[in-house]
Amino acid sequence: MRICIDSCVFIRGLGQDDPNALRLLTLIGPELALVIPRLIAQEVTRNLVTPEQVRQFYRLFHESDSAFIVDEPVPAELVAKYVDLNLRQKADAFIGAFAEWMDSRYLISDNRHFLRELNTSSFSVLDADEFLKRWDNDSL
Amino acid sequence: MSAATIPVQLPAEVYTKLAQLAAEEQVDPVDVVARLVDAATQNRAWLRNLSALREQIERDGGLHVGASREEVVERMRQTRQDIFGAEYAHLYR
Repeated sequence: MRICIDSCVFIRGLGQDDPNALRLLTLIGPELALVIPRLIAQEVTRNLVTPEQVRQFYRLFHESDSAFIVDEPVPAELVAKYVDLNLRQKADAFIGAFAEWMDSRYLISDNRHFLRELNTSSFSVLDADEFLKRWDNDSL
Repeated sequence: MSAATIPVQLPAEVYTKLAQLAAEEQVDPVDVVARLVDAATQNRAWLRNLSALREQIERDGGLHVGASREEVVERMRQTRQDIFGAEYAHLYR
């Protein structure tokens, strides 16, 4: 299964004592592949505070066969589609479009604009708590 | 030439589950073990690097992104707007 994790969840898993955000990150592997756009990697690293932290962040991806950062720009027509699907901020539409473009099954986010306003059948938006509940119940 | 093999003893309960998995997937139990070992090896590198990053952040005094979930979301939304506006918006006018 392939998922996309939003930067807010990444940051909580890395820098805060949030057990579910951290547990989600520990599940990444052959059974749960992670794909994120360069934009999300930039958002995370912009909020890291030392060069060594940034190096460690990219090392995660360099040494994994299950986690990927995609550099290629998301097709403009897909971004426009997600603006029409209620993500009026183009930056949010970009993330929604990326999740569909990469065939992600889930976008894991705490962002209420994704959780409440996005209406798409291409993937599901869950927060980390709900994703883990379904993971544990084998109901994803 | 076949690869060298080493006999391994498993608890009966473990072997039963392994055999069930192999039967479901219609493969040899050895293939199931090999896949699980490969997955564990890959996952170990991810976990090692994740732990190293978290420890580095803790040593450096944590991140300054807010205390609550809502504060983190707002901080990251602002970061997204800043980066998208500066580096991506021209692609999606």
